[in-house]
Amino acid sequence: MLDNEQNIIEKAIHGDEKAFGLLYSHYQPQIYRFIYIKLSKREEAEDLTHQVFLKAWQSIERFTYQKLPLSSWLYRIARNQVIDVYRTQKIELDIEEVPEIASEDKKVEDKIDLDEEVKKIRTAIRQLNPDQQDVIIMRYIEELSPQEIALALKKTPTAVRIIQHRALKSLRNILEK
Amino acid sequence: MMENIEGKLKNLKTIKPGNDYSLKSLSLIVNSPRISPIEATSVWQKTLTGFRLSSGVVLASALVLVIFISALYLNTVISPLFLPGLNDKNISAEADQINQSININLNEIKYHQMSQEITKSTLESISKNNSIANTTSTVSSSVETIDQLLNDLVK
Repeated sequence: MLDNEQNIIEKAIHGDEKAFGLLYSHYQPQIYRFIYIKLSKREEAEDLTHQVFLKAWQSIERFTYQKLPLSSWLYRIARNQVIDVYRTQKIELDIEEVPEIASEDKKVEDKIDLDEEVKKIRTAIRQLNPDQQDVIIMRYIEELSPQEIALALKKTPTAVRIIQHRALKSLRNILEK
Repeated sequence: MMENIEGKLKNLKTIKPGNDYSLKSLSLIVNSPRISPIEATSVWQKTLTGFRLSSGVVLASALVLVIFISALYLNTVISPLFLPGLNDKNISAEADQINQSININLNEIKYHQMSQEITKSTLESISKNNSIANTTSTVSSSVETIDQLLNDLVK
C-alpha cells in the first residue's frame, strides 16, 4: 500500500493524471506478474495489464463505493480479464500444452534472470487450479494478507487459508515428481 | 521443503514489465477519454437540485390534480349510478309507465264490469216498464253512464 494512498486515490478520482501515475507505478508490476504467471505470454500479459489499468482509470470513481483495498479491486479486474481470455482462447492448463517461457521470449527470460528452479516452479503453478494459482501468487509472491486476497477473490479469509494450504500441498507434490 | 518452496515463489517477484511498455501504456491510459466523476456528479447534483424545489412542487401539484381528475372520472364511469338501468330519471319514468298500464287495465276492468251491470239493469227495467217514454229515458241514462265510463278509460 502506498503512503497516503487514500489521498492519491481521491486525486485520481478527480482526474489527476500524476496521482493515477503513482498508483500505476506501484500496482502495475504486481498485476503484470499475476497475469504473466497465469498466462505465460508476455504480449498477452502486457495487453491485459494495460486493459486492467485502463478500466481502473475509467471507472475509479466506482471503486470508492466497493470499500475494497485498491489492490483487491485491481486483482478482481485482472482476474476477470484472465477468465475472459481462458473462455475465448480455451487455454488449457495442462503442463504438456504450456510452452516454455524461455523459448517463447528470450528477452523476458534475460531480464528477469530466471534460473531453472524458478522456471520449474512457475510451470508448477500453472498446473494448479485457477483459485490455487491466485492464492499462491497473491500470498507468496505479492505477500497480500488473507483478508485482501479474500476480498479480491470474493471468498472468506478461512476459505483463502484452506485454498492456500491445498495449493502448497499440490505444489510440493508437483515439484517432487 | 515448504520453506524452500516459499523462497522459490518469492523469486518470481523479479518478473517485471518493460519500462518502455509501462510508460507507453500509462500515457495511453491517462490520455484516453474519460468523463470526470466530479463533472458527472455535479451535473447530476445540479439536475437533482433543480428538481428539488420548484419542479418538485409543480410535479406534486400535477400529481394531486391527476389523481383528483382520475377519481372523478372513475367515479362517473365505474359508479353503478352511471348505468342507464339504474338512473333515477329512467327508473321513475319506467315506474310511471308501469303505473299507467296498471291504471289502464283497472279502468278497462271497471268499464267492462260497469257496462255489463248497466246493460243488465237497463234490460231488466225495460222488461218491467212497458211505457216507451220510460224505456227511452232509461236507455239514454245508461248510454250516458257507459259513455262516461269510456271517457274515463280513454283518459
